Amino acid sequence: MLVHVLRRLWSTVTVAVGVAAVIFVLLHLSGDPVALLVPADAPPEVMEDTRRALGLDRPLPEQFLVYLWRAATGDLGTSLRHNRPVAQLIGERLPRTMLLAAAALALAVALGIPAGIVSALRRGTVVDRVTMVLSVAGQAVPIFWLALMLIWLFAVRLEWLPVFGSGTPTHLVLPAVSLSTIVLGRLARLVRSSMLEVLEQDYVRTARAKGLGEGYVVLRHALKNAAIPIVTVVGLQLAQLLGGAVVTETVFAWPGVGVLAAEAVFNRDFPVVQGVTLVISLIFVAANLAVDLAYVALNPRIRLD
Amino acid sequence: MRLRRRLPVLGAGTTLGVIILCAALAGQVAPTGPNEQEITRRLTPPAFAGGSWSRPLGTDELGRDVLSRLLHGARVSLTVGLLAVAVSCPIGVVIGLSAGFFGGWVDRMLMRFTDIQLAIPTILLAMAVVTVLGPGVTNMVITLSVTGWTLYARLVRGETLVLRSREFVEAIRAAGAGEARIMFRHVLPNVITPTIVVATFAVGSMVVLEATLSFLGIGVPLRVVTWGSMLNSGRTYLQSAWWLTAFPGLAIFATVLAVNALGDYMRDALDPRLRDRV
Repeated sequence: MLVHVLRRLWSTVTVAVGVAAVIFVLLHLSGDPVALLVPADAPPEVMEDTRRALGLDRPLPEQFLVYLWRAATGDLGTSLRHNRPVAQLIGERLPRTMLLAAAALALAVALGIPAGIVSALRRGTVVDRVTMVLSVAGQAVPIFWLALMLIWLFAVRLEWLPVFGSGTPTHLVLPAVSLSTIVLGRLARLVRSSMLEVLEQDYVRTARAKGLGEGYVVLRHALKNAAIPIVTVVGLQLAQLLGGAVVTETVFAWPGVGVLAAEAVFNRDFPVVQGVTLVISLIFVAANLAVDLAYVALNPRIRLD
Repeated sequence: MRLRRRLPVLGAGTTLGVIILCAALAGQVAPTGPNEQEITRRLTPPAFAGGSWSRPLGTDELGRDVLSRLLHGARVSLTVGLLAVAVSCPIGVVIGLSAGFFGGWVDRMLMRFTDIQLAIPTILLAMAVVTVLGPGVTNMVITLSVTGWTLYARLVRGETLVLRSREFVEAIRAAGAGEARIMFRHVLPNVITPTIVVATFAVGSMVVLEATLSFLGIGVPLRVVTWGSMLNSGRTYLQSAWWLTAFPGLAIFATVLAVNALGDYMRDALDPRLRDRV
């Protein structure tokens, strides 16, 4: 068990350093950063001074180590557009992105798991078919389009909910609903197939034969054993949610890191693009680690190994 | 009963066939050119909502025919999606094949690199690559390909790991075949089927990713019509002209739905073991 955890921790650290390396290389492929900082007609000596001052005249491996050290200490550089520390910009907006992703995930879990269970228990009925058709549709619909259609219906036509911005719980409804569809369809299908598999097992038949209530059998015996793949997928979908948040935030003008990243790409503000990508990726890596550890906790066979 | 079971795939095949045909014949069947403006007829609603049948799906803010733009947009969106799969699939297959076949440090190195890329959310990686390359149709294909190869690498590696210890591989090796010959002539054909299934699903994902980047305004240049860029320009008029966003979105939705249904069918028909993975 301890060896497994340590191995996973080591793997997480190497992936995190690798992500930083990929982003560092991408930044350097994007051209000379000095050209973005000084006026186009600046004399060569000014360019050279700026390059030296920023440490860009040093060999690339040395620059990477400095970048890595700075990132580890929370220094992600300065935004070219906002002229403020990137870490500060991300720190101000990240809680809103996390709130949106958490709300979407909670919604997907709250709807997807019961839908999958009901579908499995009512296999072959109209309820099952409708749930599966909706799940398949949910997996195919582009979230930014769904977001626009939800705005049109609930904000423009019915005027039930606000169109843009944040501040009140009602502002969260439409972005969270749109974003949750990324996970919802897949989760419902997965819960259904996992439950169908588990419901055919001998121990479920034994539990029923003992005279236990159907609700008890489903929740305590079947769902508990079907939970392992479900937890894995829910954790892995976090990356999809954080990625999807970029688009959802743009549509709803939700002031999170997604909007910050989209604006930065538009303005070629490389330090911000780099910072957001790194931070979101590290969150994903940490979530992966948490899922892996949860998997170990849920599956005693791994612990015994 | 058999026909009922085949209905989804028949529907998907027909839908895709119609979309591909429309895209291929856009120049012939579209009522106007994609950028042909008629400013006096701007924001005309679709025919069924009070507009005219000469502009069946209405016009946009510059009086351009929405149907014509949809048909021409299909051409770019589908081409970019298909090309991205055509480029990323062989890259991923070669990487996965090498990792699984050679094992050891080659496997560790390639799979660690795959893990690193998988840790970066696709859309953010695509945005970072677009920032480096700049907008454009070719750059969009490169961007999507850079983000897409990991899917195949993971799958093919897993399949190759199983295949390399199978008896037929041992027999071929004992007969004196070289490693490259075993890898490409004997292992590769056995991983093609699951790869085709995954590639089918990937076409839908690539179409959506292209649309997402164009929707964010960082995909293809404005003059190039794609479904994503139509959604981007149409969203400003959501309050007054719903058709500008409804139709391109429906086109993407229908395409992805059809591609996924086709992928589901191919998976079940060719390789049902993939059900848990794809």
